[in-house]
Amino acid sequence: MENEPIRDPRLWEAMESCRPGHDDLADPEMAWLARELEASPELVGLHRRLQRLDAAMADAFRDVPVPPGLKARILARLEDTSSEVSSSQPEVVPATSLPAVLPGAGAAGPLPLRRRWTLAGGGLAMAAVVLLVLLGSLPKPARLAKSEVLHDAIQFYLSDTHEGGCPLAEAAPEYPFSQSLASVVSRRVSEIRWRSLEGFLNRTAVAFDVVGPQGIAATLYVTDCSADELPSEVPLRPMLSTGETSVSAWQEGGLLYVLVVEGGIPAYERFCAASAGPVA
Amino acid sequence: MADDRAPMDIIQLVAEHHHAVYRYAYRLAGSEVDAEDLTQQVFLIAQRKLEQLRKTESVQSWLFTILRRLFVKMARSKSPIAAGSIELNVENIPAKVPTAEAIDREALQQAIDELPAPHRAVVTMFYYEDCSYREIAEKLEVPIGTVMSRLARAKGHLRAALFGGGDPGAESRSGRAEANARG
Repeated sequence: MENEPIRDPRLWEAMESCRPGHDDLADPEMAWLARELEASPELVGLHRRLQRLDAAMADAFRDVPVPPGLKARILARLEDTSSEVSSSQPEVVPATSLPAVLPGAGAAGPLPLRRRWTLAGGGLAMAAVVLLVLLGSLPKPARLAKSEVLHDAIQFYLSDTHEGGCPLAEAAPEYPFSQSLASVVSRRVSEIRWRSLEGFLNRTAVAFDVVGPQGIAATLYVTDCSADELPSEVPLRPMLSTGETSVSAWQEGGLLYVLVVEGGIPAYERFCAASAGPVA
Repeated sequence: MADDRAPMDIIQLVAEHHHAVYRYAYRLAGSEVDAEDLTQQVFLIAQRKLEQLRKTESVQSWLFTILRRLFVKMARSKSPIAAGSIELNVENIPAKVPTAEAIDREALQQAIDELPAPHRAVVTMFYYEDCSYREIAEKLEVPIGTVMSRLARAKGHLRAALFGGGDPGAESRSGRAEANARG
């Protein structure tokens, strides 16, 4: 080793931030480092050595063998998911098949009657389709069903891949953190970050990302709406669990709170274990 | 600004990017099983959100962003080393810089796995994605100073593990890596 000790962390961090093969020193933020380098040939030597090492490290980082058949497995899983989605859609019964289930619509029936049933069936099917379209385009009712909240929350959570967020200690979100949840976890979480989002139960919401005891991750969603049959504080057992994700919902201070915990029922219960005492 | 890029379909997306996404996932997750699962999840989400892909956005960068967020979510429950224990390490830049081939891949991955998730994300964005510190700060929505600090500490940790002296992990790793570097 041939390392000249640099005891100024700022200088070292700046040198470490320069990529090999890029003129990062041209960044105005790095002008001071460029001046330091100009003034010190030893520093220039170290900087060059670090750049060469970083180039080798970058090549090593990118050298990862890809397992055979990966592409086929990805496409198969995509196809599986697509077929699961399409098979879970309500089947639209073709208009021509409706008369067969209606009385007196057998193949031996008189032709005019069959035509009438066919027309009636077609009309019913059309009306059903129009009704479905109309229902789909109507705004969501103010009160939601509990099962709808829980299932939609899990779906939303699985595709909610946002990272970052603002520490709760630094700024207040639009909706407050749940007092009842705070009373059971507040002393055992390292940090709570929040972010505003759109589309949770088709509404504007706030998500609080929390890492609880034993590193159990959870997200608490809050939005301004009501749902049926919900308690007034965080349940200590989940209302629904897929084995990988557990969820519960409650109504507090006029707001709807939905807690999604990564893991099964034991993870949820550990997250919410009421052992921490009062609100911090 | 006009954009002549043809609409992307998911099969094309997989064909063109699954290698890059898998390699990135492997460096972040540290195991073939987790890397493949992450890769599959990336394309499942991409399939659902394909319409959100902005025309001016790099497809690969968009996929990497999905991957990083998935990884952060996955890693929130696993923190191998407390962030505070990753010290700034200004030693261990070998006098004779090794070639890429001489860097022990297994030791490298083991050293990456020892990093806390935020440091791992930053150092992988730097080395694998070739992101500047400014781009990393923007993508992760953290201050530039935080990025620089995490990057310096993460790089120092990798060097200590690979090139000896003050190895935070295992002596055997550094010995093997140094032998490779000399060879």
